[in-house]
Amino acid sequence: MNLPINEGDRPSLLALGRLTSGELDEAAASALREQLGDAETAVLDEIEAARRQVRPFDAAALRARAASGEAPGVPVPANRTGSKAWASLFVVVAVAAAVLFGVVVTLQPGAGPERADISFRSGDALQLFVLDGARLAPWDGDALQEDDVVGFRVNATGHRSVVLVSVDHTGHVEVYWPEDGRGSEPLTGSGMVSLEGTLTLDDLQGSEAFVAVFDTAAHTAAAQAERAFADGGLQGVRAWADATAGVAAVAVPRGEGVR
Amino acid sequence: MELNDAELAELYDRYAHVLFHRCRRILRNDEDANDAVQETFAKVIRNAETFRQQSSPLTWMYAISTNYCLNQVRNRTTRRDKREHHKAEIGGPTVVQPGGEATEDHARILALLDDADEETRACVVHTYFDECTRQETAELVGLSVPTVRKRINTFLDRARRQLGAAAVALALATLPDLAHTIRSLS
Repeated sequence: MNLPINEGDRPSLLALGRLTSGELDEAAASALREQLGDAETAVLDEIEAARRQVRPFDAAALRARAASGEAPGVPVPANRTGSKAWASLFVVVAVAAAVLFGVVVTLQPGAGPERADISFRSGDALQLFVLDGARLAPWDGDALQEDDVVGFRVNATGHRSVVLVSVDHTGHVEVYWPEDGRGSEPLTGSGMVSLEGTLTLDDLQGSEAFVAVFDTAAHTAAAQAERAFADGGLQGVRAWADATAGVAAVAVPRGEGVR
Repeated sequence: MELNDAELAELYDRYAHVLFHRCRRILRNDEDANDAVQETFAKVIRNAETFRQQSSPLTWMYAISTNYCLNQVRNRTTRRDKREHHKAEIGGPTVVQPGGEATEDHARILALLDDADEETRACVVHTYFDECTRQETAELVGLSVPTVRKRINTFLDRARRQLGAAAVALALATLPDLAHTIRSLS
């Protein structure tokens, strides 16, 4: 069996990492440098270039993350109606966690429900589509109901990634893209591009804003959305989108009897 | 004894970019790789005493970040499966992970690791993503070299049975060494 694995004829990535981080003693480092070919040199260059891409050092953020015991993130049902079993499990786990840690969780403090018929579009970098028969058609402004299926396109020009969050009229914020609520959804190409997948809407009665936040991590986008809502409800979200390059929003009326 | 901010800053300067580069090879996404780095350093803070005893801090961080990365890939794959798909009807280019459709095959190969035990997962990642020798892998995982060899061969046998030829061909773009290995065994 001839396996193309490293038989010791070249330095491993780990060895190169130890070399570039100064972890090796001088003798080991010298021996390793003698093994370096063009490929290994290129990898060392890649590693050095990664300095420009790694998140800047933030001791407070790291300590907060360490104290929390887990990575910060926003719970993300990828599809609201398609994940009810998953959501039930999440509730059980969340309740168990609260009991275990003696924590009382207060959900969505602050602003109460506002007018239920808010509808707006801020910026042209986010388009909302609704499933109509077998195709997704541009949203026509009508209220959206439970089980309506929606999709999105965003303007990728000049952006590397996007986060799509929703903020409903009670101030509840959820991240839908990226699916796991961490990092951001990479964008490729330019112009209007589709976000992969769709959402099936729940039975919300009121209004909901979908907000595209470009080149920002999910937890940051969610925090910004929460702040914007705290500043002025869904109109605060609109004001945020209007005032901020790289943020676009569409607010839709939701539920029967709305509008 | 806890790490103070100066010590932490020095560690970050020495290792964060190295770790980022390595995690990006697995996750194929800058943001996710950055999250992996942050999470690894959080664990360094939480386990400062253990960390201080390591002769090779980077080796310890590699081991810590491996499971995090594999779990991220598994979660990403699982949740993608739950999502409905209507992208074709919207038209226009579709957003994909860097590497395009090949990313799904990258994830598919990594998903094969889900059924493997933790030691096998670590053996495969260190061997193919980190290009470690068997000796290095054995040291990283805490197994003997013959055991590492056996774990990898068992994994490859299973991968060969589960991956069709087409999937292997597509995977060439993302995991050339592993895909080549599987193909050579077919």
